[in-house]
Amino acid sequence: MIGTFLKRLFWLVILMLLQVLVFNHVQILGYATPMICIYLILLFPLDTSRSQILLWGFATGLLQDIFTNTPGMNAASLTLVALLQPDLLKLFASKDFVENEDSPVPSARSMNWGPFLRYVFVAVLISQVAFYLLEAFSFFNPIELGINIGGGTLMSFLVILAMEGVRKGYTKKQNS
Amino acid sequence: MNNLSEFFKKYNHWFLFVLLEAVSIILLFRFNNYQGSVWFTSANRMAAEVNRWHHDAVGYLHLKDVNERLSGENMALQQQIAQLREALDIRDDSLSANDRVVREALNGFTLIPARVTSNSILKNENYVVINKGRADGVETEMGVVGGGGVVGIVFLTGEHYSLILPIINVKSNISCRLRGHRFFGNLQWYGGSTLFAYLNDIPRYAKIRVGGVVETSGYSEVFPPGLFVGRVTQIANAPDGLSMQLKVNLGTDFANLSDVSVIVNRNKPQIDSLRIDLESFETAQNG
Repeated sequence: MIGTFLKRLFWLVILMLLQVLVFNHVQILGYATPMICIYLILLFPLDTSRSQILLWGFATGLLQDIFTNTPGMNAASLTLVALLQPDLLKLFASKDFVENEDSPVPSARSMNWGPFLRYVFVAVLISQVAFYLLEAFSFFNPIELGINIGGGTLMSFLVILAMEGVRKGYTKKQNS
Repeated sequence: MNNLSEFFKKYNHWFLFVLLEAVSIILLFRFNNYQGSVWFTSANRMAAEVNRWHHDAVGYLHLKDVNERLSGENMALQQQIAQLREALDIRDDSLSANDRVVREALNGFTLIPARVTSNSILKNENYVVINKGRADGVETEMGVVGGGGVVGIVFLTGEHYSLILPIINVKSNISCRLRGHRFFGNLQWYGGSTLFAYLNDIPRYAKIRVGGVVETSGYSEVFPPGLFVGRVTQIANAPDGLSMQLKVNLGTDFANLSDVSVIVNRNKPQIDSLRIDLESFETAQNG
């Protein structure tokens, strides 16, 4: 129990450092900044209590907000994703994964690539939509809002896929 | 109770979610200038809208009071109007209300409206022709008035036209008096300007002011008493030295005369019959 907590804390620190030091400076024409903290939320197994996921989501978002000086935006969007995470997982994962007694950590390995990609994409899309709606806080400029959401979703998705690839390779090496 | 606790246990993550989102939103509005201002303005707008509803509703409920107050005010204003009108009526003796004064003096007399068809002002013996004659009830020696006051006397009548002897004819002679005095005299015209005539035979001891109103005396049966004729503009001695001669600015503008009225004297037949009676009485006495 405490081990998983510390492991998550470690993940949180790593992700946060990556986010703050690297990805916050990644911009394509001023748009499409990847937001990778959502990755932490996506890795909760199904047997985790929902309140715990919510608290993790909120804490992660708040931490990121403190570093990017956007109080509330990431916290709100990541809390939303944390609420939906178990449902999304049940929706996209195969029956075997959902009914598995061991409640494995969601990953490309445990879920297969197809369901995992869809799962990640929808979650990232939801978080990005929530984030940019809160940021713009109006529909005054819908085109810019759309570019922001699309670019952010795409970049975050790609970065998370890359990280998932690294993690998969790492676990494979460990197992072999 | 058990059900309730189970309900909370089952759905506690929803409460947590709402709480966390609320905290996020509060942080969002509290620490972000843009979102804070948007929230503030739209909240203000909402509050203003709600306040307006409230105000409208309260205003509707208070309509009765407002109505009562308005009608009270209305009544007071009406009263004030009536008072002011009365005051105005009392004060009003100016030339500007001439028409009304003339009409008031003519109240009870039948008037025949007529239109001037021919007019002259340049000669010494000026005549005015109007488009009403015997067929319309116009008879000789009836008075004629216009908007500005007395015009003249019917001199000859045709079937549909009549000839008027206006004030501005040297033959004209109308008995006039000064308003507010007992003195009367004859209004005559000696040619020249059509704006001025002269009132003769005013006694020298009369205290007359320039600007006094000259009106008909009512002695000649032609005009009822009190019809506006003009205003005194100059006070001078008469050529005979025994009386005063007043220069009168005539109220009627003869150079611009179009609509006049003939005064039908209803007493004239009675007076005429009295005269005839007197004559027959005298002849009977003599004979």
